[in-house]
Amino acid sequence: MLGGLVGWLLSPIWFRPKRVRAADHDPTKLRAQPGDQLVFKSGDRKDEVIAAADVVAGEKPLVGYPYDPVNDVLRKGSRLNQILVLRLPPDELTEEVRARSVDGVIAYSAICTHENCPVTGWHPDHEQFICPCHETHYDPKNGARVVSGPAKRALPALPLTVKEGILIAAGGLTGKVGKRKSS
Amino acid sequence: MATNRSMRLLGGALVASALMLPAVAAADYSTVTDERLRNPEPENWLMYRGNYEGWGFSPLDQINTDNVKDLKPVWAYSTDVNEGHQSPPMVNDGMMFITTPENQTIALDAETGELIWRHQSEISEELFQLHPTNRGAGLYGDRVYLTTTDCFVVALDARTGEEVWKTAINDWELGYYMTMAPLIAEGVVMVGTSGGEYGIRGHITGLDAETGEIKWVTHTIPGPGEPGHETWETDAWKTGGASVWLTGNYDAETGISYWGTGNAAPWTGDLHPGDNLYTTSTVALRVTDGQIVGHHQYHWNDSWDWDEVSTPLLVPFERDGRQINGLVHAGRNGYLWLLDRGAGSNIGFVDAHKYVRQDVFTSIDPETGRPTYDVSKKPVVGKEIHFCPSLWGGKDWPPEAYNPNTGMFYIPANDNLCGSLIGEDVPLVPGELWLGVPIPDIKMYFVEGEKHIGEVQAWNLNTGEEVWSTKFESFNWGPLLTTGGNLVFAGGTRDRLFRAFHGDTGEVLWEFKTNSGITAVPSSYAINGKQYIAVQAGWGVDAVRMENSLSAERGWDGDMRPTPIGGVLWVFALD
Repeated sequence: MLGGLVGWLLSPIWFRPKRVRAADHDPTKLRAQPGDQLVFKSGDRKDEVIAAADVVAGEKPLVGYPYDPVNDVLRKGSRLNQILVLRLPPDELTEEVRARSVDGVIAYSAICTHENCPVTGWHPDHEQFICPCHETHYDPKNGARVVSGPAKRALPALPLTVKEGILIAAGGLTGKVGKRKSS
Repeated sequence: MATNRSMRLLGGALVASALMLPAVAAADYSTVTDERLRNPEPENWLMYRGNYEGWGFSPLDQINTDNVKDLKPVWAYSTDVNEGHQSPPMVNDGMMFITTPENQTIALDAETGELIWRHQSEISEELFQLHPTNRGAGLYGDRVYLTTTDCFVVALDARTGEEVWKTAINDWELGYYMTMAPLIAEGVVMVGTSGGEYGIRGHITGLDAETGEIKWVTHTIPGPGEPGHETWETDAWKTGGASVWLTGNYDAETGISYWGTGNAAPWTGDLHPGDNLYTTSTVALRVTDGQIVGHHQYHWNDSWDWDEVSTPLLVPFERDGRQINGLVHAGRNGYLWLLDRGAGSNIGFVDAHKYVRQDVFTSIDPETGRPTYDVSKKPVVGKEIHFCPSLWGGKDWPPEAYNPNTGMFYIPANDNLCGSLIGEDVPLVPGELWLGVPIPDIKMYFVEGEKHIGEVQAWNLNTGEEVWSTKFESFNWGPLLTTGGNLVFAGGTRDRLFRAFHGDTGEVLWEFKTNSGITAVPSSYAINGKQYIAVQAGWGVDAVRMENSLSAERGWDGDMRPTPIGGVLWVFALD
C-alpha cells in the first residue's frame, strides 16, 4: 500500500489515476440509495422488509438496513448504514420534514454525527432521539436537528415514498453519515 | 515549467512528511530502565502517576505555597483535536510525550514547545468510540507504548515516532477497546481493556516489551474450575464485565501489580446473581506470569454501575501503632477504602469511611469490609430504584494523589448527586451497547437544597478523618497532582480554571482560565533547574455527558452555551 502511495505521489499531476477505494465496489457498503427498501435490523422479523403499516405511532423508532430489491443486495456491509424509522403526527412535522414523509412516517440515518454511535435511545415524552454515548438529543419533527449535546450536525434524512404498502427511499440521504473528520 | 526531477523532489518531500520523519531530530534519548522507573528522577515524569506507587506526586519544590501566585503560562500547543483530553504530559530528560483523542501521540521539546514528531493510528470508521480519549503513553527502553481504541498495543520508537510493533489484544468488533496508559515493569507491558458496556469478559494482558508477543492473559472473571468462578450462579460470567481501564500500580519489592476492575454487566445485579468476582474489586497480579495472588471486592453483585476501576495507591499509614503497607482507594461507591497489601498477597481490609452522601450500605463488616445493602436502594429489572451517589459515584476515573512529605491523601470528589435506574432484561448483541437499562431510565439529579457538587478533599489516613474540603458549584472531573512545594494542582470544573491549592488548607492560591475545561492529569518536570507544571485542556467525554444531564436542572445553559471544547497543552512556570 505504501508503494502505491509513493507511486501516486511521484507521478506527474496530470497523469494520476483516480484513487479508488474498496468500498466503491462493494454494494453492501453503499449508503441507502434511491429505490431501496428497508429491512428490520434485528428481532423476530430480522431481515424482513418494513411496511408502512409496521411503523406504529407512539412506539419507539425501528432500526433497519437498506435493501436493494432489484439486485437483492442487503446493505449491511457497514454499520453506518443503519436507518431509524418512526411515525409521528404529520401536522407536528415541519414542512421540510413532511415533504420527505409518508403519512407521518419519516426516516433518518441512525449514526450520531458526534462520534458515530448508533442513536438507539428514544425519549417518549419529548419525542426525541437520544444518543447513548454522550447524550446528544435530536428532534425528528424538525429534521433531526440537534436539541442539546455535543453533536454539531443534524442526522441526515432519508426521503420516503411508499409502493404497495412498502416503504421506499425516494432519494439518497440528505447529507454525509456520521462524524465529520477534521482533516 | 515543472520538470520530472522537480516533481520527484516534491514527491519525495511529500512522502517524507507522510511518514512523519522528525521535523527536529531528537537528540540522544535517555533510555528508560527498570532502575529509573523504580526511582524516577524528580525532574522527570516517566509514567501515568509519576511513580509505580501511583502517588501523582512531584518532589519538585521550586514552585511552592509562597510563590505560586506568580505562576504564568510559558507556552501552549494546540493538539488539532476537539474532544476530551485526559493524559498527563510525560517527560524524559527534555522530551515530552502527550496522547490525545483520535489515537494521536505528539512528541515535543519540553522546554521550548517545539514539535519533534506526531503519530496517529488509523481507526476504522465502523468503530464507534464510547470514550474517545486516551490516558497516556508508557515509556520503557527507547520506546513509547500506547493503547488504541481499536484494542491494539502499539510500540513506537521514542526518537522518531515510527511504529516498531503492533499487537491486537482483543476484537473491537465485540466491544473491546483501550484508552489506558500501559503499566510497564520488568520488561512486561501490561494492559486491561474497556468494554463493560458491551458485555465483555474482562482480562489483563502482559506483553513482551521488546517483541510485542503476548506472554500471559489473565481473565478478571474466573472461568470454570478457577477460584472465584463459584460466585457466578449462572452463565452470566461469560459476558459479566470486570473491565480494566486504568493503569495498574506496582510494588517493585514484591513484583506484584494492583489493578481496579469495572462494573458487572449488564447493570442490574438480578441478571447476574452471585458476588461476581472479580467485578468492582482490586486484583493483585504477579507481573512475571499474570497470576492473581490476591483481591479485595469493594461491593458484591454490582447493581449501580459503580466501576471500582480506579487503581488503589500504594501508601503507608498507621493503625493501632502498626505501620501498614496500604492500598488506598476512593471508591466509586462513595467510600474511601483503606486496605493492607501485607507481604504481597491476600489483601486485607483495614477501614472504610464515607466521603460523599451514600445511602446504599447499611453496614460494613469490620473484619472483611463486606457491605450489607438497603435492598430498596439496589436496582433491579422493572422497578425504578433510587440511590446515592449516582452511577458516576463519589469519584469516577480521575485519580487521587498522595503527598509523602505531609502524609495527606487528596480526593477529587462529587457530592450531592443521586440517581435512579430501571433495569430491563434484553439479549446481548455482540459489539453493541448492553446496559440492561433503557437510556431515558438512567437518571441523575442534584439533591434539593444543597449548594455544591465538586470537591477537592484532603484526608489524614492515620486518623481516618477529612482535614479539609474545598467545594465548587460545578461538578469536578479534575485529576490531581501534588508537589514538594506543598501544592495540589487540578482543573476539572466548568469554569475552565486550572487551580493551585495550599496542601495544608485547601485555599486556592492561584488559578488560570484556560481555553476549555480540564479533565486531564497534570504533571510537573524541570529542565536546567526550572520547574514547570503542564496540563492539557480540552473538555469532553464523560464531563460533557454529565454536563448535559445536569445543565437544564442547574440552570447552567440559560443561553445554550456549554463549556467550550478544544485541545490545548498548557505549560506554566514562574517568571
